[in-house]
Amino acid sequence: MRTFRQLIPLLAAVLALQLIFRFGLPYVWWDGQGLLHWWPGISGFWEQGNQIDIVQQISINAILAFGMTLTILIGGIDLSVGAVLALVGTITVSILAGGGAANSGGLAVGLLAGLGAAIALGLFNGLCAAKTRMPPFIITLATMLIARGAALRFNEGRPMHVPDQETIFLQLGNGRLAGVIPVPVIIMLAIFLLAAFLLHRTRFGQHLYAMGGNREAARFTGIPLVRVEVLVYMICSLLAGVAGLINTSQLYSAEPASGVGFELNAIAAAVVGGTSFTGGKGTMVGTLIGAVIIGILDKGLNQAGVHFSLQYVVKGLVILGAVYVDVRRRK
Amino acid sequence: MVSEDRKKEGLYLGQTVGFNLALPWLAEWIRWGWPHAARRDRIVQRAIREFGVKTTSADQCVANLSGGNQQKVTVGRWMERRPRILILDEPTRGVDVGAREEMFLIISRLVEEGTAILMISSDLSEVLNMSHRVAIYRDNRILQIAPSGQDSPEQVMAILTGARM
Repeated sequence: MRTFRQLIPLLAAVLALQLIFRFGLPYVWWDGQGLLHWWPGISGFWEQGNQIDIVQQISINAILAFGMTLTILIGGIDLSVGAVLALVGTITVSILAGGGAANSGGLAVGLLAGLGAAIALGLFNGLCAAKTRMPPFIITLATMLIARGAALRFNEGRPMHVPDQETIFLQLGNGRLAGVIPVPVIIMLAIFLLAAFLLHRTRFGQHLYAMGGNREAARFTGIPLVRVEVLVYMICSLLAGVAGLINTSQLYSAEPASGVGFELNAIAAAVVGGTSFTGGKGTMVGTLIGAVIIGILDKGLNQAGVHFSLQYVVKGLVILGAVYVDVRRRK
Repeated sequence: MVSEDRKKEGLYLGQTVGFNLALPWLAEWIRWGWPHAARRDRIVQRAIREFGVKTTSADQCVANLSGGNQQKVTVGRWMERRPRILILDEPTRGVDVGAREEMFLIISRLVEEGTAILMISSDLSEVLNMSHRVAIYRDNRILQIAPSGQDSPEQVMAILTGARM
């Protein structure tokens, strides 16, 4: 019940954004004739196809944000997810493209190699964060640069086309279940359920809250800090890898330069969803709704024809507002 | 173990009383990814009842409790299965007079029930009244271990300060 009450403002924000983009908004602006105007909204905003587009577009960010929520919960952060996303895509496609004719083994090897690289990077992040006193911000900043460099090393930074015969791989990003629901959305929802289960229903989840709430106390309570922290970063990186596969599939090619700034969008989704940067506070549902809010905002501003430079400004203000409300409520 | 600095090393201040009390016993109430709300409640309610933690509900935020009640939470947390030995580091630090009395009663009861208690304190009267045996430390060295009835507070102070008698 408590968590549900905390979600009400978020759900209200979703509803408000949906109403604004559909029915419009009054605004004050002197255009030579009058001062008060009505922006009419977007008539097609509530059409099924448009709404499905929104959820499809948020799925990558949401998957990244689920992992990010875990790291922020324990008082850390993972800046490397965007670069990991690009690296996993390039590794997988270079194996797919190098595998020659459509041998079914190539796909499995490609996926395993890509996700394996992601897990290895996560392991590295986690071990560094748990075993040294380096701050996670710096560790993952370094990993971000390393992973980005590794991705750009493939094919000299040029995009690599996914071989056309890899239909299964292309379905990952472009397929639709029953012709309606995009496959990425299904993957995203599945990961959401798993992550929510992990966070809210297992001992591991309670350990995360304890660690984020008070690390010293967690040590004295007998929580295996190193194991928990390493696992968190591995999960976060693995999810970035999954997002990378979807991203690559959607683009029909691996772009070593893609995913720049994705980590910031993921952080924004988590924070808008009520995850506290000091650690120990946050829920998976909150993050999901946070990603939805950012997605609606992106799509709506785009369709409303707002100049892209202003879109950044609006998004920045929304994040600022969300954090302000969160801080105020905590007092 | 109950730490000297309950805010820094003991409590999860941002969390509820229930979270704080149930945390050490996760294995008791979460099995295979399935939390048993009833088991958790039993652990939490028992600790609240036995230690007289004054809180409106288990969902109250620990930061809103008084110092004495916070301290009861840090001690009560370990009581689900009676430990054989409990280390209390400055158990009455920042605790008001009434709650201090209660804390002493709790400690006495635990001792009667067979728990060995190692209390670390810089409050002389508290040490002398509560203990069976007292070890006097200065600069990381034990100066004397003696039954508590043996020395008066003045004598203990003299040993501590190294004054000659």
